Amino acid sequence: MIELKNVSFSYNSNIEVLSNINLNINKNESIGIIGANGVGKSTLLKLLVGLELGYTGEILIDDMKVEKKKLSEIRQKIGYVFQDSDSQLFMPTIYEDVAFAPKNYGFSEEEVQNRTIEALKNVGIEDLKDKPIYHLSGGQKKLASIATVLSMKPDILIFDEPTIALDPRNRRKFIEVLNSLSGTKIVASHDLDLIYDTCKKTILISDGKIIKNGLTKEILNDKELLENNGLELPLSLIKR
Amino acid sequence: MNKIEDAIYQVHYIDNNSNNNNILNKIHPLVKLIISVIYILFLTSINKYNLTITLAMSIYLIVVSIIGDLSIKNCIKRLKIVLFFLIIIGIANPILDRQVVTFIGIIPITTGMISALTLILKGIFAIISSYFLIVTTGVENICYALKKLHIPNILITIFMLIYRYIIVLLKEVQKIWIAYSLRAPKQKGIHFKAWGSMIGSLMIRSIDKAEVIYQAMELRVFSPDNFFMKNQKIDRTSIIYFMAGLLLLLIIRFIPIFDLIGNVFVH
Repeated sequence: MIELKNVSFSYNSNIEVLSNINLNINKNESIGIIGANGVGKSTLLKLLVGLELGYTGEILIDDMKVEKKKLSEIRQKIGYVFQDSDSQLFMPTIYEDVAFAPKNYGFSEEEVQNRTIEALKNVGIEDLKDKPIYHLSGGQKKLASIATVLSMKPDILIFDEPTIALDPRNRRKFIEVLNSLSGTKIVASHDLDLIYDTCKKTILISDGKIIKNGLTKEILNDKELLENNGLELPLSLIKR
Repeated sequence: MNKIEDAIYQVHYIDNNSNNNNILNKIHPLVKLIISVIYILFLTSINKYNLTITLAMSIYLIVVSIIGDLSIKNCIKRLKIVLFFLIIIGIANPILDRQVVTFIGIIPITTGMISALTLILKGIFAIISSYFLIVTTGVENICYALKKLHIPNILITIFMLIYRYIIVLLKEVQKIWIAYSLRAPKQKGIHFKAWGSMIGSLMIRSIDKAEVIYQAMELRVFSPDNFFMKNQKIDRTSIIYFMAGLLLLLIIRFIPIFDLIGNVFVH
């Protein structure tokens, strides 16, 4: 479903942010991308949706190469939830924000309404649909952000540092919602407990390279591997 | 609430108010836009010494405020900075144009005074009418009306994004201001030595934030060419509003109502 072949990327020609990345993600897999700050996790996600295009190598989404002329089709398949919900939500009310993408796709009024309500129900905030964005709490904003991409009915969901600024209850709620969603899920985070709770497979990145690609349980229990790459064991796995 | 919070609140107020369920909000955006444009055109076409016709143009605003349940007083309060500039612009007229036309008691009334007052009133009325249009229609619907008038998509998009980015800019100003004031509690305002770096920082942060928001829009297939506009039909109420509005504007612009009323009392 997602295939990266020898992908390298740099923001300027001198420093490579990602180097020779090879990766295959199959349909309905839940993948965690972990790594310390600044190792290239967010950049990798941006390459998948074509927010950055100056890469070398090949990125295929459902056999479509990520390039400018295919972006509309690719972005219909992928829902990208930003790290900062305030950047994701720009319309006056939740309903209008969630309806933004279906309207842009030119669906009928009825279809737009159905998709919007369904997306809001999926994350459990249909009762907030008419609420202005600036009245929402951090947790509600995160759920609304997810709803904005669910209304596109994407095959792939991408989350960039989704639990930042969420309190424990909202974090738990987010994990429940995430686990209830179907389709391929890619979660980039250094919240390793989140990855442990939501992803079967994990990719460890360090200095723009894939260090390890395997089962989450194995990678997140490998203390030495994590510490060598600027991470620590998940809190839930530390014996007290 | 500080001034920046108040400004953010005002922008949100416009969004909230445009979603209200009153008669004026339900009128088709194109109708409201055309009537507002005609009003402003009529207003600007009034001779600079014709104070009575200018005053009569306020009738339209009073009618709109009653139908739309809008407060002119609140509106003037919100627009006081703009009003200040209007007064500055008009203030030169009495100095340059000193021909006396009449006296009130012993105070000579000059053509400059009349033209200054007319100019200020015209400005105030034009701004209030534009404000009423935005508050009862919402920016997205105004964009829709502009699209119906075949205004190029790129201009409509720029108009909409500027409006959306005002909040981004204000929020960044607020963050910088809070960070500064917490570390300079004894200072009133921002020291001029910090202005340069703060404005630079504000610009970079705002551009960065605006870019991320635009990316979020792009990821949901936004482009100026396919920007959604729900098709709205012009219903009977909107047609009646258009006819009545146009009639009212023609009457107050071309019939000197206040002169006629004044003549009744004089005779």
